[in-house]
Amino acid sequence: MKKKAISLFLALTLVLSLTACSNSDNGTAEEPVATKTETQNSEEAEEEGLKEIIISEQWTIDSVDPVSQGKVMNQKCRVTELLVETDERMNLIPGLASSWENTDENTWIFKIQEGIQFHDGTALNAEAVKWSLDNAFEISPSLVKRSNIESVEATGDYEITIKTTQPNAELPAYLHDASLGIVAASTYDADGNVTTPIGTGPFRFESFDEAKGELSVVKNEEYWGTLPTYNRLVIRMITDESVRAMSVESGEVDIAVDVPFSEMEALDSKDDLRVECYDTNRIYYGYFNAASMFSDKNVRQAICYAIDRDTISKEVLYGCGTPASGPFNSSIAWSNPEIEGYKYNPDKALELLKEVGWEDTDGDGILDKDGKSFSFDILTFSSRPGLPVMAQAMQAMLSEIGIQVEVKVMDNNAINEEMEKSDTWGINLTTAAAGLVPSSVYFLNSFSSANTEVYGYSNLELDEMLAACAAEYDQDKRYEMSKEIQAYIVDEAEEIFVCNYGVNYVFHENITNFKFNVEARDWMLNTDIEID
Amino acid sequence: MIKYIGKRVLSAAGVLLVVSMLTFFVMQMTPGDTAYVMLTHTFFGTGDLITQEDLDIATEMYDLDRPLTVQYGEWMLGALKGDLGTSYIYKKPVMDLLKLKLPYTCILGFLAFFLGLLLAVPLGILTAVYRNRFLDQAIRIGSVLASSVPGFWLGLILIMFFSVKLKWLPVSGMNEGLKSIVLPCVTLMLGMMPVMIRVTRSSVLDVMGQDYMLFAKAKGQSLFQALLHHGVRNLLPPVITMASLQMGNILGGSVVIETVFMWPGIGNLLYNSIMAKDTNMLQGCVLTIALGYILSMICADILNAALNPKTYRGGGRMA
Amino acid sequence: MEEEQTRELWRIERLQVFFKTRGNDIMAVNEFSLSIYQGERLCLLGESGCGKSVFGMALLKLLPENAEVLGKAYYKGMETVGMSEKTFARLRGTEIAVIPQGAGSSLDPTMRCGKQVEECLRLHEKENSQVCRQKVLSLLKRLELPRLPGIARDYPFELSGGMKQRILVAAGIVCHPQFLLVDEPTKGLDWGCRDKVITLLKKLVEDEETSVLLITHDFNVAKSLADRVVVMYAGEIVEYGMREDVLERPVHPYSKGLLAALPQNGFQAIEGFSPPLDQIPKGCRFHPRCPHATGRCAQEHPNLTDLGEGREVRCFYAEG
Repeated sequence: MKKKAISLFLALTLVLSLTACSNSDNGTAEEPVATKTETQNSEEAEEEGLKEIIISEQWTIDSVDPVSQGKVMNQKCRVTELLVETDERMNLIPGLASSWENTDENTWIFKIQEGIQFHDGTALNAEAVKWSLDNAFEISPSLVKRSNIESVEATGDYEITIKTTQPNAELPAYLHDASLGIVAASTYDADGNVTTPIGTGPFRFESFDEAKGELSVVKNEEYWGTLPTYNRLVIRMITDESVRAMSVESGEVDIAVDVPFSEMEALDSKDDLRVECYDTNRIYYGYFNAASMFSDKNVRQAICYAIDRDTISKEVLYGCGTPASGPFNSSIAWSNPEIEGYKYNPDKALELLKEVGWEDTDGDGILDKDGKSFSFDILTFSSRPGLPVMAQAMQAMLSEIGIQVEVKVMDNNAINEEMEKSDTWGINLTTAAAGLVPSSVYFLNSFSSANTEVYGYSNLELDEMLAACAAEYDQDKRYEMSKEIQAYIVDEAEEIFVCNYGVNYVFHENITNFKFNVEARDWMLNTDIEID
Repeated sequence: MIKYIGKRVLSAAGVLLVVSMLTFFVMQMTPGDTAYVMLTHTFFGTGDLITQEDLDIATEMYDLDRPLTVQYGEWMLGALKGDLGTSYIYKKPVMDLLKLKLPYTCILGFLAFFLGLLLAVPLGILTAVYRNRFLDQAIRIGSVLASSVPGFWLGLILIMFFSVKLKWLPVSGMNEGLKSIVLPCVTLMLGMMPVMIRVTRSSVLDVMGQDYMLFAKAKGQSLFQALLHHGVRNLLPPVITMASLQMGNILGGSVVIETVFMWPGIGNLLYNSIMAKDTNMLQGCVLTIALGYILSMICADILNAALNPKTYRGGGRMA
Repeated sequence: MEEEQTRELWRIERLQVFFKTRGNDIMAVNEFSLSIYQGERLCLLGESGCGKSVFGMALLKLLPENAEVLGKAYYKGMETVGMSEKTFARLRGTEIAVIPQGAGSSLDPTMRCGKQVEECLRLHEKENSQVCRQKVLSLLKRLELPRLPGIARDYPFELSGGMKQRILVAAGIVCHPQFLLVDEPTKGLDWGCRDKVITLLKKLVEDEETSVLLITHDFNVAKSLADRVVVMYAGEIVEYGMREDVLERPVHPYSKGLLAALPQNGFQAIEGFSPPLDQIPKGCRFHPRCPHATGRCAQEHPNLTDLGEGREVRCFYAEG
């Protein structure tokens, strides 16, 4: 009897586990979120020689929400478009808004382009734009806080008026935010969940397989602008960078973004592959700890001189990222081309240090002052793979002039805590998207006293310059002021700018005419890329 | 039997409770402010500039400023009702996500597990029967090699060879049906087989040294007849116990393997949830894996009990 | 009877068993020559470690792989030492069977007792399960096992030591073998069980007319079962002959010593210990312990001396 019970139980568990699997298996077939429209069509099209591009990237696509996943929906997929677009130097140009002006410091009027339709056929008008913006502000309140927006009102069929709580001279720049892609209300169901992202862009959302994290979009034949040259784009997530490289090598994908630096040369040497590197608007830089020997400007500048950026660019980044002289990539409109930065000069570094008393008095090869030897930690993290190696290169370069450095690679999230409790940290080596907002002061503001408090800085002069620049409504004047600030920041050397952040693309030979867009946060494809 | 099952269920519940508490509080102890990590995984990129304002908003949105015990308590109450909360990176109920991804892990895991056993047990028997001969040595060297190589590296080597060089199999993902499952499955199998071969081998050797095997031979049975009649039931218990532990290892190992091969199972989910400090999601994944572990151990116990007459014949009836 | 006895079942010629070890080869059985006749019960008597079980296992080809057997053994005229395992396997069970020692470990703990007895029948006689089961049950009944037929469905752990030993006996003789090796049938049993097993065994072999090679260290077992007795010491035969001759009027000093060590004779144990097989003394293997040893005993290895009437002794001073 008992034996029977056991076998019964066994059979039951087996059956249960099997059904559980097969059940949920069926479930996924139905569920994969959103509509899987026209897969049939696209398969047919494929037989006719569909121009399809498959790109593999490292980033996980968690959802297709056009707000929280704005970067995906706007930049990568081109499903949504923005009121304000940028050109190749990140100058603001008209997007869905044909023009804008401010009637006073807190009031902005945007004219909406007429005759544009959403993917679902509804017209783009002021009401739709207002709904879309309000929706985004609700989902991501920090957008509002950052841009000081108070309200958005439709003041005509094709005109909206935006009021701000405080003057924001660069409001249009803040509207160029991937999270603010204009979508139709039909994107969401009654409960506020995304069903199908409906935008106005050159591509329509096709499918998203949530389990695999694979997303595909197809050409929007009714696009109001120039039609793209390819019909379908598939974004495939491949977390491991080596696997990503192999996926393009095997021909499974057409483009792979961010392959390991060390494998670029080998991949490029293959007949059917091409590797291209570009500087993004992101920058590798470090904050000095003002509560240490770095409170002295001479010391900071000395470190800046002691770092050989050319070598780092060549040896650490394999050329994927050029040496940086200031906070902005030179292809950005408001970057100051006259800044020379700190050219590698160890003698000058030693001289500067000597001036303020750092010398090797006891002959142990390490600089010292008042009996204290010159040593500190560089804190950095590894999820941007260039950083740890860069830190080690800096360590080697600094040891040549008698400075002892320890590199601490930790979780990105742990660095803030480490800075609070450690008194030996000297440089927090990190990266940031300097052009996140196409504004000449947005990134510079991160060097204001309010934001550098954690590093121990307070520079009222800089704060004043930043406030004045932000309050300037004339763009040309603002750019000039920004350039001055950049020069000031570089001279003060409260931060050390190392290299521009490079991105590499591996193309299969069938892909040509790729144009890099400096505003891309991860990657972007131009719609006139050629595919054979 | 009923008593046994009851006891097992109770202890399983206890284990799950402890696991969930550990997961929750350890997660809170890992460096990084939850709101900060959350923002870097949703609206911002890693290393992007995040202001205090942004942090305050996120904290308020997800009620992160409540005491930890309250947060855990509320989660626990929900979990008891079958609601594991919502993942903030995916913005979906954890339960839905698990339902979505678990089948893939199950398919891969079970396939690797059963194929692995199907190969490892006979190989283990062969190495024992032909011990110290060429076959035995070859298999043993092979398994030492396989077990000393980390799973992800093995995966990369396999991809390099079979996908890039030979182009027989896809590099990753699961777009080519059966072909897609081959490499991740083989990688997982190679991870568990060495242990299983070793356990089977020593178990067979142990059984072969028993007097009843000699007696079976004296009765006229060949070695394989004897192994079949007397060996199997006696050599299986350690093999089953080890197999149940391997089942747990497969579930855990799938985290790495799934990341390399982009297999859309809970391994990926777990990886992302740790990276993004998505506590609810992580709880869901960890509890699922723990449950898998517990279930496989219960199965092993039941199987072993069924194989051992002492358990169901009581303490024996002496004349 | 006389004619029957002359029919040789086994003729063993200079059988030697070596165990290969890391250091050197150990000789466990040395130049063993012996005949076993049909229907007779031969007892191999000796202390544990003297090589008697090794000899038995060598005869049955059941030694581990590291053992090497030299010499010849003819079973019904067929040479078995060089015989292939496959050919020999056909003799196992039906012609040549064994009742192994260690009732506890020789039974598979996971198989019902009845089935373990039945196994041999099923393997060799190809009869249907009903017939086999009946045969097994009647055999168990003859062995006076209680609780029939239920006991056949019991597992070994549910039986007492004596019952397990009887199950083993049943499994050994179920196919009516011509030759039965009984290895230490009383080892580990209490006195009551011991007598019962011996009585049963005696009755059984008389009924079956099976030749039996009984291996034991127990004088009393030998006394009650054997027709002829072989005394072994340190891997060699030291004396053999008819039961009455050897057990009551032993010639070899070792046999005498064994007799004197029996409780009824006053527990006069032989001094010293039998040597380990890798430290065999030169000369007569027993000389270090022998009260009558002379210089010759320490130098020269004695051969078996024929004393007539089928009696041989390995001692220079056998007459004495």
